[in-house]
Amino acid sequence: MRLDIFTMVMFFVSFFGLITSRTIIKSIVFILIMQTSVVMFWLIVGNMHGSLPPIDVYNIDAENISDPLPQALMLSAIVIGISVITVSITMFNNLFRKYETASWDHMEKVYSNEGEGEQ
Amino acid sequence: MLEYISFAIMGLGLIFMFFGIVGIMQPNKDFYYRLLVTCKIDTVGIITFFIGLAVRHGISFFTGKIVLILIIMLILNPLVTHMVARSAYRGGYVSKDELEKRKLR
Amino acid sequence: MNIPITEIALSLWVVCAVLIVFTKKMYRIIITFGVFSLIGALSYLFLGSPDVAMAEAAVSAFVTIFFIVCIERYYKFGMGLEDEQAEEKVKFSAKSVGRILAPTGFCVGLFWLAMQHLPMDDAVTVLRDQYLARFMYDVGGMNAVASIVLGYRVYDTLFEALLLVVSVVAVAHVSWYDKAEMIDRRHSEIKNSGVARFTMRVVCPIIIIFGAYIIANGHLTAGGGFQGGLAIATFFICRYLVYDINDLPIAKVMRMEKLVFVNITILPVLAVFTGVTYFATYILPLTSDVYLVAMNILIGFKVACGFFVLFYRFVAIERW
Repeated sequence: MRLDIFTMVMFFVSFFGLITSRTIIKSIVFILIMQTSVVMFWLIVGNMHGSLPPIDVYNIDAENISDPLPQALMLSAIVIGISVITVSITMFNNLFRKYETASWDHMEKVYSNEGEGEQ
Repeated sequence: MLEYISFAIMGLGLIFMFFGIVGIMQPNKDFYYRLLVTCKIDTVGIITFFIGLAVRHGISFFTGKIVLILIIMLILNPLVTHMVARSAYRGGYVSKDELEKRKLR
Repeated sequence: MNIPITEIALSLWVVCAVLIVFTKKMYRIIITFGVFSLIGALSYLFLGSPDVAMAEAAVSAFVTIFFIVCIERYYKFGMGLEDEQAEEKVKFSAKSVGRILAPTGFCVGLFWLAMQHLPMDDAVTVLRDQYLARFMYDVGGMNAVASIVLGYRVYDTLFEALLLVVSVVAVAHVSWYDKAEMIDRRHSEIKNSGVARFTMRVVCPIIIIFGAYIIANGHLTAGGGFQGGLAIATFFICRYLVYDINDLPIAKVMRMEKLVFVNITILPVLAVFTGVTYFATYILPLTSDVYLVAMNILIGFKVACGFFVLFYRFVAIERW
């Protein structure tokens, strides 16, 4: 059974959630899930030859070792993901202070009402 | 021989975990009851399982690591349950039985 | 008997994500997300990448704390409940049906397109064989991932560290900070229980030793600067959550993080780009490991400082 299909399903489930979610926190959660699915996809692609960790390589058969390059790249991807998430949570906090809602629709309504008031 | 003993101990740990999960799934039980059962999975189940693993591997470096993890688990898991129960109590959570008793007074 | 353990873990992973799509209550979403991340970390381990698994497990713990702090305030204002109720109301109109059907069709179509272009089963990567054969002579160390991150791909590591610094600075500038509110405000009036305080006194040294072990052994086994730095940052979190102390100098820690980042950029310039590590492995095999250990310690220090600042910004200051 091909393992890539799981990550494909996961990516589009999170994409669906990102489109249809009505609260901002849920959208942030789905961005993280999408990132996790991409990380899993690259690890599975690097895992097609074998599933032994690439540590202490000279004592084991080289055919069964998984690819170390995607792992190294995904390690930086996870760090970048958490920094993006922290910044977006902070921006949500600021918006919540200002508009006192967490829903996209309600916030948009309040914002448009503010614009009319100024005119 | 040692292998079969270790399998028996690990099976016992799995049985403890199974009963814990059955306890969590009980409907119409209050929060503190479920917390007690969760604590049972965390501590008793994992301790028995880890003792089984240690017996299986004999005296080696791996067993030393398992014993270290077991000691940390023994210290931390009851603490976590204690903190959850304490914060629920301080936050004003009252179980259903307690509420009925208060109404009767 | 060959148990398909990876398939089982991945199916549970998908089930957790589908649950998150259909739950409305915020606390449930966050708890399910924590379960989701831990199952993901377990599958990373089955796929033969313990470094990524450790990073994911540590990151998921931090993200869960951030989200819970965020949501707690969301409920404190009373607005969260109204939003949830608004979301639970189901109106059967053309607009609501279209709002569900159109994204579903879009996602299914994209999924069908993606299935046509799956990667080849016999994908041979030349770089994999090259790296596995040469990393011990070029960079040193026993862990291929650590030597790729700190040796061949050191540009990536530099920019990743820069991004973490930028995110810390952005959080410090964007987040709500009012000096008038911050005069000796404690978390709560109630003291924590004696059991918790005593146990933390016992456990905190173990946490620091564990983090130092992960950092110092990053080039030999799974681990490294990022994972060990996160483990050390949990010490400060425990200190805040149990003792309720709010008097640490955040500005000084931020300045220290920036200084350590400058050191992180200087060290590869002196060691890798001039080719010192390449020659050192042939003359004295131990000297290249010195570079890896120094780099891991610097990165660990920087990550610990950065997450310390992030946590205090979110929990101690943003809370009120």
